This record gives sequence, C-alpha cells and structure tokens, in this order.
Amino acid sequence: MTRQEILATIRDILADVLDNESLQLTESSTAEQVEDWDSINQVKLLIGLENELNFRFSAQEVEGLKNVGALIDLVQRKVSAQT
Amino acid sequence: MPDPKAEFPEGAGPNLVISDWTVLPAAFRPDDIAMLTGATELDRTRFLTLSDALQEARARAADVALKSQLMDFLYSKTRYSSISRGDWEEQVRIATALDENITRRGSAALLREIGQSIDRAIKAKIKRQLTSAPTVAVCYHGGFSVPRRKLFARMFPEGVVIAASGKHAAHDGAFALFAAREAVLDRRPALMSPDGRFGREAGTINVLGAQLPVTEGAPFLAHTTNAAVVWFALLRKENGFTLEVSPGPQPDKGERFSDFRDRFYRFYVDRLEEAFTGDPSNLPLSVNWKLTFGAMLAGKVYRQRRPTRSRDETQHSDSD
Repeated sequence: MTRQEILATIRDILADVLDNESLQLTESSTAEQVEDWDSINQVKLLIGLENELNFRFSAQEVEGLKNVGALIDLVQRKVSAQT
Repeated sequence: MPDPKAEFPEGAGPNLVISDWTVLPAAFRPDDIAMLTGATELDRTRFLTLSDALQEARARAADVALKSQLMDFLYSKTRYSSISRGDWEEQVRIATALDENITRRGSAALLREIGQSIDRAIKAKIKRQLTSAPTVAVCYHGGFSVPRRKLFARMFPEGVVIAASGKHAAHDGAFALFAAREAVLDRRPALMSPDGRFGREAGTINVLGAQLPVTEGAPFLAHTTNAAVVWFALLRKENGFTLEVSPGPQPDKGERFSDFRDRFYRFYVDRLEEAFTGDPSNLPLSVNWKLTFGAMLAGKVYRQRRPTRSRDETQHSDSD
C-alpha cells in the first residue's frame, strides 16, 4: 500500500468512528487537532485498522504515536511484514 | 541483601511504580528509604508494620480533616446505624488516617505484611477467577486504593493497572486502553477506576445523591473484549486485610455498547453505594470523594475531568 492509500484508509475509518464524513486528515494531523478524537476513539481506529488490514498491533507499537504520519509509518511496516 | 521480589509471593510486576512506592527489602531502615525515594523531612519516617500504622492512625484520628456535615450525611445513609454516631465516625476517621499512612508513608515491608495477611486460599481463588476468562476489574478512588492497586500488580504481574501514574498511565489513555485490551484478550486482567479524573466526560452517575462525572473507558474495554467485569476490593479484616471480588455484568452477544454501558454503571453505582453505606472501618474517605460529596451538599457537582486526547488537555496540562 502507498502512503496515500493508508492515509485514505485511516481517514475513512476515523470518519466512521467520529461520525464525521467531512473529516480531513493530513500526515501532520494529531488527535489534539481533531474534535472528539479521544483515547477511546483512538483505540477504535486501531481496532478498525486491524480488522480492515488483517493484522494485529501490539501495545508497544502504538505507544507514543505522535501524528497520522507516525501511524502511516507503523501501518506500512505491518503491511510489509505480511508480504 | 535479600531479593526484594522474593519477599512478595506473587513477585514484583511490570506495573511497579518505583517513584510511587519503592520496593525495598525490609532490611532497609526508614532513613535509607527516605534518602532513596527523595522523601521530605516531614515524610522521612515510613511505617514498617501494620500495627504501627494503625496505632498512629488511632492516635490522630480526631485530627483527620473530615467535615461534620459530610459525616452527618454519610451516617444518615449507613447500614451500620446500630453503631452510635460517635463510634461510627471514629471508625471512619481511623480508616482514613490508616489509608493515608499506608499511601503516604507506607514501606515495602508494610505492603508485604498487608499482602501476607490475606488468606492464601482467597488469593489463589481470585487468581484463578481473574485469569480463567477475559476480565476487567474495577474499583474506586477510595477503600485503600493504593495498596489495592499494588497488590493487584503483584498478584497479576502480566496484567495491566491503569492509574494516574505508572507504566499504563491514564493521561496517555489510548496506549493504556490498548494495552489493557491486549492483556484482557490474553486473559491477563486489567484494573481501572472509572471514578478517576482522566478521560472525556461522557455523562454522570448518581451515588447517594451526588453526581459523579464518568468516562466510557471501563465499559468500552469490557464491551470490546467481551470481558467479565468484577469489583475488586481490599478490605480490613481482623488485624489484617482481605480481598473480595464481586461479579458484575458481561456483554451479551450482540448487545449494543450503550445498553452495556448502562448496565455497567448500574453495577458500579451499586458497589459504590455498598461501600459508602457499609462497614465504617472500611470507609477511608479520599480527597476525590470528600470533594464529590461536599459539592453535592453545597448543591453543586464536582468536576475533575481531564480529557486524555483533546485541545483541552493541551491547554490545561500544567494546571494541576
């Protein structure tokens, strides 16, 4: 998957979680910048990515994710490890 | 020097908070502990035995800061009304002072003594119960909360304790919740206190007439892992302590989150009210709950929430 494809997947899942279809995300977006993106919704996003892309994150992997770009980096590593 | 871990039958777990309650062998003297933990001059003497901590608690019980209006209110709700008002209040004061002594001036030796005072068969049964199926244990900021949390971490060294500080600190709620989910799915229990200050307020619950703002973290964790919920309590018994686990709700197949959340909070309110109307010797009053009931008596709601991931936290991160 390309970074753009992963970003689109993250956006779609988060838009569903937050019930905000007009959600716009960039690689520099952070949870603090998006209304209602709290800890529970962050976990829902991670679970959604696991279900969509068929892998499991470990807790250590998701610790300290600073922005969407960091999450894309992580997803890329997980997808690469599958192939 | 003895191995400090060997002094705890359950072993010292990864949730140990060194800065909060340093685990040191009993051979260390209070001055050694004070030096190593950076305790202030006023806090240099740590209690090494439960009897010392209890004796001091009894001696200063009358000076514990508890307002008579609050005592009147709670006594009006107690199920122990056969005890005189004076005797009831004295027991609450001793419990509160004892909890303060354990929390602020407790040593590793004292924690070990508390752990050892609990019947081994009870500990073994609880260990089996909480590891036989995905389990979310809940408690509150009261009722000897610090030793309870420490004992849980020792009984379940691979479990997760979500607290204000430590490896799974509540201020990083996403990581703490995700780690708890991982643990619970792996039959490693998680412990959390839904009456804590971190997280986005999702509503209020009514505890003896007081409105308590709550989050959805604990019911979300149980719902997303299909875990059993239990109430995890540390109670004084005779000259020591015991543990009690009370079964709570578990999500039904296909149950909507909002329905489960409501069941979860009905259970949680029942357990809180059971504690606040129960045995006064097991009713240490924490600052949180003194403020919560105090606000109610003043016709207000005590709001202590701190969002874990929002602009508000950024703005107020240094406020308290």
